[in-house]
Amino acid sequence: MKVRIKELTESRDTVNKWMERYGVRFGVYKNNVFKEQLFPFDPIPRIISHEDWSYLEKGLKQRVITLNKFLWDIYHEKNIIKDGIVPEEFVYSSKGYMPECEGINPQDGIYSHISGIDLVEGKDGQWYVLEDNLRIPSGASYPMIARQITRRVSPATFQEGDVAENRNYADMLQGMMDEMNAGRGISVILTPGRYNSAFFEHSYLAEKTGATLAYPGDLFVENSTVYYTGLYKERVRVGCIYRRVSDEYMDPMVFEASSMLGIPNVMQAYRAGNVALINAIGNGVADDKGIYYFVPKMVEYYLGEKPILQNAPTYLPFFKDDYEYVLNNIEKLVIKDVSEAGGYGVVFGKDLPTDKLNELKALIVDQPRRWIAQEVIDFKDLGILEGEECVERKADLRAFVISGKETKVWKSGLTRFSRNPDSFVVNSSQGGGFKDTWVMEK
Amino acid sequence: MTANTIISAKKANSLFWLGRYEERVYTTLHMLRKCYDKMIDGEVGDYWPLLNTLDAYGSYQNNSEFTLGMMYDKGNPCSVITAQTKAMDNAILLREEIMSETLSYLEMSVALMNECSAKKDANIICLQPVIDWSLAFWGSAEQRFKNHRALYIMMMGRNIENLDMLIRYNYGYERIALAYDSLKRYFRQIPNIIDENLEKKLDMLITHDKFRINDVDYKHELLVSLNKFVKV
Repeated sequence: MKVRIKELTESRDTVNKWMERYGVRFGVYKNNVFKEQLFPFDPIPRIISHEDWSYLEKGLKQRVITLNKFLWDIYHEKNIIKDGIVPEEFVYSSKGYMPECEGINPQDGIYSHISGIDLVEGKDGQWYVLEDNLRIPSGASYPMIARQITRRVSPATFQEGDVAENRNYADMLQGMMDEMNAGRGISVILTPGRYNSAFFEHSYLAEKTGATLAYPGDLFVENSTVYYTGLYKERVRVGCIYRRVSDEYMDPMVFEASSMLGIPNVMQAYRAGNVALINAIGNGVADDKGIYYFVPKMVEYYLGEKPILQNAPTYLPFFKDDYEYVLNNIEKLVIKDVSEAGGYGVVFGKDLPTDKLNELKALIVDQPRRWIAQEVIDFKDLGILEGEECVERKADLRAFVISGKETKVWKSGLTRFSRNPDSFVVNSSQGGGFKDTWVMEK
Repeated sequence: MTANTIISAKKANSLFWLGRYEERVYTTLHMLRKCYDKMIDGEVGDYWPLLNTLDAYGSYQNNSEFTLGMMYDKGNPCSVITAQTKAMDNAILLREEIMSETLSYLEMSVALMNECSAKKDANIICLQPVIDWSLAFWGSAEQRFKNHRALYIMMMGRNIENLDMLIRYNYGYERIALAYDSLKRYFRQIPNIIDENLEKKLDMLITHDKFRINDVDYKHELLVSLNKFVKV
């Protein structure tokens, strides 16, 4: 398919104007002050060939099915620990492991209904998984609305019809929520509120899926059943909660007692099987940066298959050999603090002066479990428009996998890029922009 | 699964205030335009009656300063930009009720006002699109709301604000009675949403015989009853 770069380039300002019209923003806190900003959109799409996508789709399904099996195992039999594949230290010391979820049986054994898998494409064309996001992965709404607007502003671009539709994300989400719904109640999206960085997405997905957007205080539990409460105390049963509130704030009776964002006793209803939580609580144990190292081993363990997708070459200082390697090669590695997210806690050894490198080494020696190290992947740059010029920048891809009765991969994804020519960090909270992701049908 | 027609207290409150503030944008601009016209070849201070009517404050050196303050001063609770921002603050919580298309008219108004404010554009004609988009907003809302109860709550807010402004501006009986009838069309649809005693009181006050808009006590009673009338 011929990509009409000229049309797309010319449409940039109009598309961004339409984004403003629809309030496509995200929030950031700087010095404790909340500020909303537009998420800069670059009109040149990332294009994934049909062949590449077929490979990615198979690999992503395999990975997410595996991670769901791992989560079931961890909160039930723990065979993977007993069989020595994953050391127990990595499970029980993970901040994402929730003992309160032991023995809970989510419907169909699915924990991660919405998985956001971050990948990069190396210069050699090889794709690598950088991170699994199984708690509250965000970002699908942006390419969805960008596609809607771009098609309107630049229809000629899509006339040849080879680009897979991506505006069906809401239908996929709604279908999965219906399948998981317990007791034929309503589906709600629980948001912490307007001052959450992803509030646009919460409200947009509620609109597009037909779910009710629920705010803290709108939901209550009685007899282990969740209800949405209306003006004058009317009530309607809730069967599915797509929650955008973190695990530790979900139930003040079980987790953080001071939480005003959650639903008291929701864990009781969840354990009784009277409500589905999308995603399940406790998934953090599987997307822990330390656990990431073991995912290829898990694929073999649970599925008896060779992993299709590769991890970036990763070292765990927890293991003696890796410990030596990391300390001896720190200046060429990227070091990640397993307790951080959102692009924070990531340092490139090459960027640090000697004294800071030594400080980092001391931290690794002190707490080897807290760190992972990865080889720096020379990932493929993508062209973005800066002013009138096309420049190359680092970009990743967040692919979304929806797991209900079936595991399906959304034929698109969020491509984030760094606007800083020297940076590998693409997170929106750190100034990155986004592109649409075109998956080619043939 | 099941469609939800229940509206939470929080959303009902936002719907009601969205209706009030968006109507205030429209009415304030309307009144400001009248005042603006008078000031073109009038005296300094021709704006005082408008300030008094709105119970507004502010010390302005000249007519142009007054116009800018009423249009763009975010610290002035009676300015158009304050009403528009507050309408938006409520609307943004309601995207799935009012839909993105409807919300977009408010987004555009806020963006335009911020742009004109940065340029200190004191010619009120620059805000004409805000009026157009406000009307488009109401039209879009009527068409797109899936939950009629939500629409009625918002329209009650709109009609109460309209009535409040008409009373403040000493409009005549016919106009006020008509606006009250329009309000009734909506609250009749939602049981329990109004204070029935205050309804009886308003029914009594807004009659041809009792109507005395130039009587300060009467006007005060009318405004207080109206503003306490809805229970959201």
